[in-house]
Amino acid sequence: MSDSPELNTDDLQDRLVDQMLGELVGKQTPPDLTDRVLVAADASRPIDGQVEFAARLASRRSTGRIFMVAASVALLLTAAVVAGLQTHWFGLRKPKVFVATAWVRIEEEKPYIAYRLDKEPEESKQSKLIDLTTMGRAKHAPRLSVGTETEPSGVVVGTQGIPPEFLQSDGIEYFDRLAAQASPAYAGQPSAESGTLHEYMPTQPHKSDPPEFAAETINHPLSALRNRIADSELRRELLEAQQEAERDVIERDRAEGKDVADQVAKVHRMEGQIANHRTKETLLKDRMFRQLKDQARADEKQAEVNLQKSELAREMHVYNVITNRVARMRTESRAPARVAPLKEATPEDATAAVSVADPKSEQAPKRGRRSQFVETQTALIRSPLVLERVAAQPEIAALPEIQAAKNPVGWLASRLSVRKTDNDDVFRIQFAGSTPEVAAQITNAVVEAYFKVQAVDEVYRTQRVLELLEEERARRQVRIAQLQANLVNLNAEKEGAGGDRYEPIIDIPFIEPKGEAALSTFSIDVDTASYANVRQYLMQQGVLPPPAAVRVEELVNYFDYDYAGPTDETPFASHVEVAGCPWKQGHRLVRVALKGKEVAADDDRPSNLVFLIDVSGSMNDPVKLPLLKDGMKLLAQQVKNNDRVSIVVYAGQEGLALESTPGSQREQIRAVLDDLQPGGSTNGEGGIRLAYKIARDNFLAEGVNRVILCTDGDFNVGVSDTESLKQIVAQQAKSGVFLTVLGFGRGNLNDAMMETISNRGNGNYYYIDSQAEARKVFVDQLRGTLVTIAKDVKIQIEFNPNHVKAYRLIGYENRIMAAEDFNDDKKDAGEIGAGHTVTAFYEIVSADTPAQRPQVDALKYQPNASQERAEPAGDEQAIEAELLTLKLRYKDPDGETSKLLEFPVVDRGGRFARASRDFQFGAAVASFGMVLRGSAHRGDATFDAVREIAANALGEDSHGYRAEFLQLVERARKLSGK
Amino acid sequence: MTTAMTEQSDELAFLVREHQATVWRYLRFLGCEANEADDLTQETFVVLFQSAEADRTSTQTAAFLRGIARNRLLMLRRRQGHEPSTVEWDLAEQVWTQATADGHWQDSLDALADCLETAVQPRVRRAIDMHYTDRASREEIARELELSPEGVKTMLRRARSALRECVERKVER
Repeated sequence: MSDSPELNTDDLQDRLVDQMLGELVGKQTPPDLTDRVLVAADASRPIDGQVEFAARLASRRSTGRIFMVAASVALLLTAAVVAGLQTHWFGLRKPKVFVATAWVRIEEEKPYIAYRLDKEPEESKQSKLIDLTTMGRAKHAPRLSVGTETEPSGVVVGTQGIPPEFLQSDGIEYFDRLAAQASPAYAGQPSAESGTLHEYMPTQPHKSDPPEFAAETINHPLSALRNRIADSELRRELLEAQQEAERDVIERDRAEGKDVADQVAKVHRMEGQIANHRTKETLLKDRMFRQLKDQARADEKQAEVNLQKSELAREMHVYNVITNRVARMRTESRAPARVAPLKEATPEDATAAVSVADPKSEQAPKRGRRSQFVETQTALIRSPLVLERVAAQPEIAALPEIQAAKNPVGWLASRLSVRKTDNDDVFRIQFAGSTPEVAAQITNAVVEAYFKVQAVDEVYRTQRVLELLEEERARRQVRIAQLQANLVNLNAEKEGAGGDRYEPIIDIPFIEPKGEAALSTFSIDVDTASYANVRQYLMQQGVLPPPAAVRVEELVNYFDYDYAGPTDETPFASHVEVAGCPWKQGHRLVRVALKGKEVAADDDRPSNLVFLIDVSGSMNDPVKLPLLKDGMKLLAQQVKNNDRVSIVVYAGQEGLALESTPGSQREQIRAVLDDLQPGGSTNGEGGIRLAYKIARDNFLAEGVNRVILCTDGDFNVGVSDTESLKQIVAQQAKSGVFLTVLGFGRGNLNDAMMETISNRGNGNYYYIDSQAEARKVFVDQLRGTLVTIAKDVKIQIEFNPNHVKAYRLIGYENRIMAAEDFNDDKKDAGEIGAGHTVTAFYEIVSADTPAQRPQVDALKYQPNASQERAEPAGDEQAIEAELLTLKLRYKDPDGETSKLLEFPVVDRGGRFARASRDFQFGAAVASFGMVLRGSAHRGDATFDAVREIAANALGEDSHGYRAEFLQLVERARKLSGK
Repeated sequence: MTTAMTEQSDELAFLVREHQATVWRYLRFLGCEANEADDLTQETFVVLFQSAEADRTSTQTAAFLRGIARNRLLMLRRRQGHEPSTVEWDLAEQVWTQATADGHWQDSLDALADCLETAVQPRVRRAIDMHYTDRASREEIARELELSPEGVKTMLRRARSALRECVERKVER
């Protein structure tokens, strides 16, 4: 329905006939889903006692569909392994969470799924990939079922409890047998009919798959383990049988008096072998069990994460709605309805007339609204709100009728008639009293009470509604923060002890610029870690990066852009460019760019640098410590003679490797670097404390003071929760020691924590994946980073709703600030270093304003729409033409109060193709990030489109970074298979 | 399976057989694709199965199922990021209940079959067959009938409108 926004009865009836024709002529008849529903309903029953396993298996009739069965069997196999293990081997009863994971690719046929999934299956033309991760979650036992719509399921197995045969096998052969029974095509292997399950089992269980199945064998991480266990079991059983035979022979030979020493020794050897096999099997099974548990936990966490994400998205939506509403209520005139008595009631004519003017209708006369307003007024006059006041008046309360009435208000209402006259604004109020005098008296009392209520009520109501909305908004805000925190925790838990940890990123949605929502506020970010990280994934690991590792703003900011620097005293210059949006027809793209002042080469402000180097065991990797040492050596050549360099290492214990040393003693610095050896575990926090102490001890009041943390992010000893680290670095940043974080390697990269603490420490976060990147960071950029030229740089943009229907900030998801924080100097924000550039993109949906329509000459003989309105005065006209206003706030590096810069921006309607090279390239990078993230807002963007745009906007590219970007895009395209 | 469970299943099977076609058609009417309708129909009955036992007449069950189906679809659409308009759905509900009351659908189908034989020009019939049976595109039909694609659209729409009137006449009679 949502596809066709305006349907009327005719359309619907047309659709009905369309549907009937489809059924009658096109044979699109409703399918028989009885069996499916029954199985699904069965599966939805809560667990009761043991895990129930109702498995039904059936084959498709036609042979062309065998594959479907095979795939289904594969699904059963995997699930069976899980079930078998948990229930049989380890005797777990009543598992609370029971997760089986299977990936089943089903060709051609529409899959017949007994489970509905939380997640939409990914679909492609030929196949459907079904992720059954969530099946059987929580209280529901998985009941596997495969069948067809036309044929009732072939085999129904085990209803209450697990069938004993299932438990005797490891579950796999059991299903093999079922499959063989159900589908002759599958039964190319020794079937169960040839013997007991036990006999059947050891005969190459994993090779019993038919070719179709083998071709698409599920690459389940556990299948290798399973095979190894089966192999071992087979060998052991053979050995046992041989041993048995040998023993018989020994008995016999002994009886015959022969020498049996050799044979006894042989049996002993066999015993040893058998024991080895048993140990091996136990170990393997244990490992398999642990993997299963981990997987179950991970799957559950993923489901939980998905749930929280959707919850968060909803909360954010509601929050935005409320924010818009509040803003609208605040801005709209809230004058009470103007009411005036027209005619008083008299005993001769007990009718009063009241005129009521809708305060809103004067501004925007709309029929619907007015009549609605009138109705509410009618209801209000008859409501207890008014009538209670009437009944409370002493002279009326004294009336015998009122005293006699059980419910005075009800009595009044029943005799009161309120009607609007032909003139919408005039009400006729009439009361049927026992005498004309009473009638007139009550009528007038009603009118009087109504006026009072009207005057008090409107203002009060507005206030109250606003209060309630604000409360609700605050509640939502807390909830959103909670959800976000939950998500971070969940993700951390999900990743567990190993693996890289990323904070999830949720795209900022389009926002309507109404009321306060017209303000978009964020903190700048010059980090580039995400780009290097993405590159490492693509080029070195050969996989697409996880979406959470892709921070679009860091991708964009990785590149140098040729923005002009400031010409005056301000520490940075700002540039705004507007052009068409390449990935969405009709949208506009706004680029906001800042360029930090370059530091003159002869700037001789000294630096006090404390390198805090992680030398824990995990750094022992060619792409970690050696890379770091090389980079540091490059830097050591760059330091000036009056700089001071210290090196703190941390592992099991933190230690000072190099006391604060003048930059002139380069050899000494090099020697210490050469001696660094990895070993021990990490105590990041202890190291950080020591490093800050050294920095403070050697504090240079006139210079740059900075701790440079080099790690793979593995803070695994001591107090290492992000919260306490954040506190330490934030506190130190206030005292003038800033923090830069350099991330290395892969495997336990704690991206989330490193990003967070570098933000708190007024610093930057770089990820170093290669020699080239080490050079870029240590040599080309670190110098600039070290010299902070402005801190707490915030950007606030006010969009003009006349031109902007909705806007969306691309990237900067974790840099968003509340509008009021812009002017709050206590709120921390990002830093900009010497020569740094910051680029942010906004995607804009243009409002359909006259400015957007094709230009025609003004009509000479008739007033047009814009002239009908009061012609705006010159200034207003100029303001009206503006697309947005860019506001910047920053503090000097050692300042405490912020300075404000403001620039209005007008959209000249330029096309994307005409935009500057840097604009085009930046847009390409941004869309690359969006495609990598699978963002819902990526529009028409594809890797091909990205490459095309970027290739045409390479510009000078003196370092070759942009050319390298093209390689990344190409690799990503290949990896994505598109 | 215990006897109670078997009974439950039997009852569900009965309800499914009685109502599934209507639920499926209703979902299609609300704009579902066929496979979406399959899945949502399944879900709808599972929800019915899980809901507290209540004695309902067939009509009440039908209405109850419609409610569930509609909610499920709403949830699905939200997951897909569409927020359907409720006003339209109310209108759709109205049109639907009128069209399907008391086995009306089957009557209408029968009537429609008659009307297709009597009230449609051969040329139009060809367009209908091509559109509904062969799933030919508008352009293909246009080529065959030597019309503009827009003309085909109008033709089909008019045909449906005529058929609707014809069916209404027949069913009322």
